[in-house]
Amino acid sequence: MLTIENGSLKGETRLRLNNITLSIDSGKLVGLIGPNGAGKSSLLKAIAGIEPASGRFSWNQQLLSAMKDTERANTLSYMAQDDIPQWDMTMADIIDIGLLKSRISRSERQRRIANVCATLNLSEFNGHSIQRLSRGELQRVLLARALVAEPELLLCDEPTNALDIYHQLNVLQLLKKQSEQGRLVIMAIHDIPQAAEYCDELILLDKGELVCHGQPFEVLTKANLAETFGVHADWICNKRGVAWQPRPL
Amino acid sequence: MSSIVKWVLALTLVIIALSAWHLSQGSSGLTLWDWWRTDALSAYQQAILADIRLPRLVLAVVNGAVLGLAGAAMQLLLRNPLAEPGLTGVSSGAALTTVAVLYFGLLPTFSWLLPFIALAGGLAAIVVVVVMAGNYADVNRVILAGVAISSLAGAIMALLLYLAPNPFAFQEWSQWTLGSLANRGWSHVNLMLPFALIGAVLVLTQSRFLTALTFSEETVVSMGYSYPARRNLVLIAVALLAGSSVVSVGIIGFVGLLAPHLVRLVGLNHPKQVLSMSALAGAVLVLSIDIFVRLISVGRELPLGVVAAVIGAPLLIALLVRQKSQQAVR
Repeated sequence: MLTIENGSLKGETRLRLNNITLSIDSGKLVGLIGPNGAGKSSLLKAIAGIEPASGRFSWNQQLLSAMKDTERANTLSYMAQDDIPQWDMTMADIIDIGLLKSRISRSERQRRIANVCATLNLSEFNGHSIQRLSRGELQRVLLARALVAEPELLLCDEPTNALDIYHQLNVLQLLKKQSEQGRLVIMAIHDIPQAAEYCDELILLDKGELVCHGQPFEVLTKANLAETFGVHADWICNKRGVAWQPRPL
Repeated sequence: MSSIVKWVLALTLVIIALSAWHLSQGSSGLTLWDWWRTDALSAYQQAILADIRLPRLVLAVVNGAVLGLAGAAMQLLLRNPLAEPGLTGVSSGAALTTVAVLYFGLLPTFSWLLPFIALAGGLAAIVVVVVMAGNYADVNRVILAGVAISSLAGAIMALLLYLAPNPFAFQEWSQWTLGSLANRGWSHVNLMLPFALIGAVLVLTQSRFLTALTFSEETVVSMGYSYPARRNLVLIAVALLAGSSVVSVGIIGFVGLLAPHLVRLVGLNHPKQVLSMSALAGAVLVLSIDIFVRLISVGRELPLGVVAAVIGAPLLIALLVRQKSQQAVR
């Protein structure tokens, strides 16, 4: 279980996160939604320990900031937005970077890489250089890098960004599968219908503040969407499905 | 046999072959063949081999390796294929302090201290760059800080030379900065080796961190690497490597930039491969250029640093054009 108490993050001119308090159970796919600049990425970075935030961020009652490097690397994994590898390497070498901090044997290393490739339907690209992969295939490799250390908590910053609709759904399904296996997956996402469709819970942020946290139908109300996004949405969401037609207010 | 092992073996053999050729060159006309043929060399010939040619060979190999390694480390650290050791500001810092010593006429008093003063200047430059870069996980700040310090040092140096009361200052300075392996001995080897070794060991201890930097700094921090601290450690290591080269043979450009490119060109892209292979490729480059410098005779020996740039720049352009056409095909 992830618990955040009074999580705040200072920016140059304003608070990027203001007193966020929430807790989320494992085994869920959670969507972070909100307008640009709402603090979605900031919250992910604060949890991942990339930006020094004040407040308590704990995983299963253990403070994340108090964990040792290797322990934390095995607990959480962070997938940055559009983090394309700088150098052309083979797929296995790229995924192996996710294990740099893990002290495991060579055979265990290879077993884990083979496992994660099988899970993410990447086995056919074994030995390929990543330059030969499409953007959608590469996104799965980046996900594999984040998952190969078998973290309990996976943080993804807009994992569907820059992907075509087929690969967007593909990535969402894979993330959903990860959460069903007991992981907590938190992702920032812009597409509200997709968020409603795939996520078990949504966290709505605006100007660094927590507006609402709950099941999609609780969060995606007309009032919430009008207040945060400044759009009027005709029909939003119920427990069975989603359809929406946003118009400017 | 994996491809990296093959390449290490191949380049080692090339270095051995080039070393034999390198040892056979010189104004005395003594060749390795003579040495092989005769049972005993005269004391004069032994002195030529042991005190002139051997230190020059060692300096060529070590400097090439040091520059190649430093260049690879910089490119991996800054995630930028155009980065090179000079971006740490260490070469210009070292050059500036040297010019200052010459300008104030302190050379006669401090001639034996000059390398240390130069190294101190180089390290001071890197400290300024590190402080300017701050705690941000943003490589652009390091690059900008490096460029700023290098330009500032260059400007001050030009001003000092322009105002120099001593007409020989410019000549002395140019001899020092153009980079040359001529007239070097074991003292230069002894001077550079400790710094080069410390720098190399430091860089190699950070090879996992540099591998992780295939991804953005944010991802690397999320993996549990303390970012500014390790970045600064690598910068200081690169400064020691580049500084050791500058104080022993002067400024040799392009080797640090070119060596990692050559390694990637043959398909060795893994950061660990790039680090080790760039050292070997750098040694091959400097050895070949030094042989070339001695083969062409234009009355006096051309400075190695200048020839390296003259050969290196078109080679780099050719590589870039080739890369571009490959991308166009894809």
